[in-house]
Amino acid sequence: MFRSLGWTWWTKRPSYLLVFLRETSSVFIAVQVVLVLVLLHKAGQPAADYQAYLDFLWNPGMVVFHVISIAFALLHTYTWFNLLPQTIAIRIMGRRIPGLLLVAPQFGAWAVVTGLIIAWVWWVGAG
Amino acid sequence: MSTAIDTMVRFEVFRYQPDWDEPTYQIYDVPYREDWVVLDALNYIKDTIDGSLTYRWSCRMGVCGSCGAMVNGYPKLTCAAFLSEYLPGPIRVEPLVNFNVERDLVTSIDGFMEKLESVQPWIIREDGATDDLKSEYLQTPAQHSAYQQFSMCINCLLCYAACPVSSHSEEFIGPAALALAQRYNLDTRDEGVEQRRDVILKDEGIWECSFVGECSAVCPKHVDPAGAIQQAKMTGAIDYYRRLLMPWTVKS
Repeated sequence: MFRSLGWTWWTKRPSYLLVFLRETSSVFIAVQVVLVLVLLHKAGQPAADYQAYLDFLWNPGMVVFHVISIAFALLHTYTWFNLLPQTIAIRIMGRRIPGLLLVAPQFGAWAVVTGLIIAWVWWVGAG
Repeated sequence: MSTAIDTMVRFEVFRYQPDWDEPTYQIYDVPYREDWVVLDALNYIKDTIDGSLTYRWSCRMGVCGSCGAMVNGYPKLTCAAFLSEYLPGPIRVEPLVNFNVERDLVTSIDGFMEKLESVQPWIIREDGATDDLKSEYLQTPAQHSAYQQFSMCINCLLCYAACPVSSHSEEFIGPAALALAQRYNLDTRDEGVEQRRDVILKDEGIWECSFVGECSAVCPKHVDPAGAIQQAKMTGAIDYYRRLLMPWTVKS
């Protein structure tokens, strides 16, 4: 008699649920990528088409979808960055370097890139 | 010396025999002792209440790896699961999931043994000198520390019981066997990386792992099988591109 965790395995522990949400986030991020690609396509179309697509992206249902997507993106990024020390074993003088030295640069780079994007958007908006 | 408290702890123990259609849970009330672990309670049940209860155990000190079971749904060594952590009860004890149950808390580990053997978890020498007891293969402490963590596995199989991938793919080689493969691949005395390559990189090998990480969380020896598998993935990816872009560096 084989006993498995069953298809509801992800409901059985908080740690399983977190992994399930991390993996599910990929679906939302994939849809966002498609939305951006369509946006780029619409940018080359007549202004009315472009405006209609912007209106679609701003309708209340889509705004809720965007908020959920950004929450998933943050969850995925945060959890994935923290997993790096398990994935890479860098040794110096025979000793494994502390995980913080691998995790901190990722968050640092994330903050810098985010700051640059915000500054650019602000600059474009102001200009 | 054990301290007797005027308390009984209720146990719900999974019972199954090969000729039964369905398993059942049997209730036992066991006296509480603050220094007792779940294995002590199972021994108490077998000695004084029900001699038919079947389970594996040996060392009682977290070394042999034979007393693993699901305790309140979590894979634990029953010799390391203190009753005090589960008060006031009840404490449900079941066989490790993701294995075939043979009887009560005893599971069949035949499938695991085949998977373990498939990764050739022993030192392989290209000169075939593993039978040569006269040769020395020196290793520095730094080289030893590269794989030492992965060599602590006691084959208790708690990691398999915590792994959702093992739950849905009986073919998945699984955490312990893959961690041991990585252990030997990292050993400077070993020359068997190529011989293990196909087994480790096949669909049921490292790439089937979705990095849930619970195998490492439940490991009583802090082996970190999830880390071993991800590091093997990194090595496998680099090896793939090396073969693609620099085929002349690959041994035939």
